[in-house]
Amino acid sequence: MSSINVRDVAKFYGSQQVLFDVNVAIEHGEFVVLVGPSGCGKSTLLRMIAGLESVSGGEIRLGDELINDVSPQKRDVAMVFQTYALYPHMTVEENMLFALKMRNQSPQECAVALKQVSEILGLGDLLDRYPKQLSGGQRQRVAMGRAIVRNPQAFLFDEPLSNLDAKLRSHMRTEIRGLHQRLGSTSVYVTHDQVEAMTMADRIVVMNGGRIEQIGTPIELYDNPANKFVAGFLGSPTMNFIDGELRVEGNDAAFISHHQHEFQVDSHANMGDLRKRRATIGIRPQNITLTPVDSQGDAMVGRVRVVEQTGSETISVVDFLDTEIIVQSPRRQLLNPDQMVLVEFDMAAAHMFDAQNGLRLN
Amino acid sequence: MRSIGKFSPYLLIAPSFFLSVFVIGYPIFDVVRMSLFKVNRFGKLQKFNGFGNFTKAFSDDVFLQTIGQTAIWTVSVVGGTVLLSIPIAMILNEDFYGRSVARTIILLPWAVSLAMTAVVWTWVVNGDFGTLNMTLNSLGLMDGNYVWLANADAAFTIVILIGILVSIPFTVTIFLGGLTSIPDTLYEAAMTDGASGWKRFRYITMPLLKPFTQIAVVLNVIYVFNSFPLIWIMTNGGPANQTDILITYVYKQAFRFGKLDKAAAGSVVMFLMLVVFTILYFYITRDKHPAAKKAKQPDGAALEDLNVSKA
Ligand SMILES: Nc1ncnc2c1ncn2[C@@H]1O[C@H](COP(=O)(O)OP(=O)(O)OP(=O)(O)O)[C@@H](O)[C@H]1O
Ligand SMILES: [Mg+2]
Repeated sequence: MSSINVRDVAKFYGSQQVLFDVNVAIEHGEFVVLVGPSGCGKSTLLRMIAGLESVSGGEIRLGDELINDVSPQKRDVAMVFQTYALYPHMTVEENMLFALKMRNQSPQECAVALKQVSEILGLGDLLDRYPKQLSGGQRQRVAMGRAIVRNPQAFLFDEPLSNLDAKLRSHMRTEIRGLHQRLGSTSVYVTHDQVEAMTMADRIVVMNGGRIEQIGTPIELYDNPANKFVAGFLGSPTMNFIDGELRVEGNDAAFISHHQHEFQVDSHANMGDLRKRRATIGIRPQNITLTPVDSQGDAMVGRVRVVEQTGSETISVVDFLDTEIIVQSPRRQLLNPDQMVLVEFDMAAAHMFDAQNGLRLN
Repeated sequence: MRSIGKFSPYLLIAPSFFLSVFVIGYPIFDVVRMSLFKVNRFGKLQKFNGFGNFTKAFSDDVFLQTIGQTAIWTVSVVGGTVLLSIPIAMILNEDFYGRSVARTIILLPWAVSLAMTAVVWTWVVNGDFGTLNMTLNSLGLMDGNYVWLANADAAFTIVILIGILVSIPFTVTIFLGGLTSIPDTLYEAAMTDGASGWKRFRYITMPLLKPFTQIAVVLNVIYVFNSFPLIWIMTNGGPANQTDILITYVYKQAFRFGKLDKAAAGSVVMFLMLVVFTILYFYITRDKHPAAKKAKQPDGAALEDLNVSKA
């Protein structure tokens, strides 16, 4: 097992730059998830670590070794592909032993490794099958087995679960996590599914448009997002944003929505001395409460549009201050569409973002 | 309505089925019949001759010699073509500047008729004014002119080389199709698994190209075995029948010597040889993992397997 150090890495396709100044230090034995919207460069970064894409700038180290120009077959990293990339003409056993065969390991060593890994993954009965005789989930674990059997310096996963149905996906999520705890292997895992990122990662790297937005543990990113992008990307349902203006006077701060509604905010050093600035308030659906009311007079009253009951909790979409907010109540709340509700924000949990650069202000 | 529905597919293909039977089957039937009768030079059947025509053919030394030459011709042309086409297809499958131009150039000979190619090459190797002699002379590799097609070995080598040249476009096309069908991620997986370039070729490309190689070999064998124009135009089977192959032999027997019965017997032998070859070839190269053809397991089984594995 090795650490992976990505320093000032850039990637160009022709004249088009797709990665900018990427810096990540992945520690020995750490499970790091790269997450971000489609096209943000996650796969490109992962493939650069695997050696399948050239490095246009900066350096990548595996342990202490600079591997920028080391060919993929000489880097001791294993990759699990989104499409699994099992060799269709080989049995499960041959697939798993291919890498060992390429390294000229003895049949005895192969047999030992095979036995061990097929026990871990429960592949014992499938060893003589061909990939096309396997279900999606089974293929997925063969692909994992092929990576594990080599005992590589690091594992790279490129959206390995995206071809599975929801149930199997959550099962495999736990299983991959369990495997990691058991093997303690340095892993880089790419996904665009923020639930996977939150549940699996030791640390999450949030990427957007070829840049890293923030790196941190799932809880850090959830509680203290560096900017509006990270705040909106993590968490489900997504954070609500309301645009307006932030006014700071000494220790007093207030946020005035476009609707002229005023929210009291705790002032914060980051807010600076500016008397006025355009800003966005961000509040998670879990930090809003709704109370049914009759009147329509108050500005803090909204109209319920859609109510979804999951059985244990209630998710409602509410028209409020000219926008639409999502509210998640941790209990069953009986609301009807078109009902008027009093909307209360838990301001202690609210975030304030600069409208220009998206940075968090509190 | 039901019974019509059941039979209508057969009803609909019946016309083309009978047309095919007639167009393909009748000539075969007629040749087989001719091979069993004495036939005069105008094609009129005379009397039943049993296997007499076959014994006559097999007691002809030229026929036996021609069988040997046909084997050399077919094996060399098909072998050479397949061996050259795989690397050519692999190069053309790479992404490089000017690839489409290169592909067109490789496929170009296909567009020219075989007879035309043969005529052009006859001029090239012509002993008196051929460009081959001219080139070799001006390079100082040879002094004076050489009549290439007058020497049996040289002539046979030359027609074989040209046979390879004209078979390459078709074969490369088959292999290009095969290579395109191999996903890039397999190579990427093999690379991260530590396979060098040669090993990727050996363990990924070759096995996955196997069905395409089979098709390329069988189609080329059938085509080359029966290929008439090149040899006919360039050497006419000469000198002294030493570049004859079965098809030119049969043609000569039939239309030069008027021995239609012997020619028919020769044709039947050719037909049987090809049938036997094709069956044997597919048998030898068959998929040795019959398990791989078993029905795919339904996806629902996946979760149960997962649970078993936790025990
Ligand atoms: N071979 C290529 N040539 C040119 N541009 C490319 C190439 N491969 C990827 N790109 C570009 O690089 C950017 C990053 O692609 P990448 O595949 O890394 O995205 P991703 O984050 O993995 O997205 P997804 O979640 O959809 O897989 C994209 O804008 C893409 O268009
Ligand atoms: Mg990707």
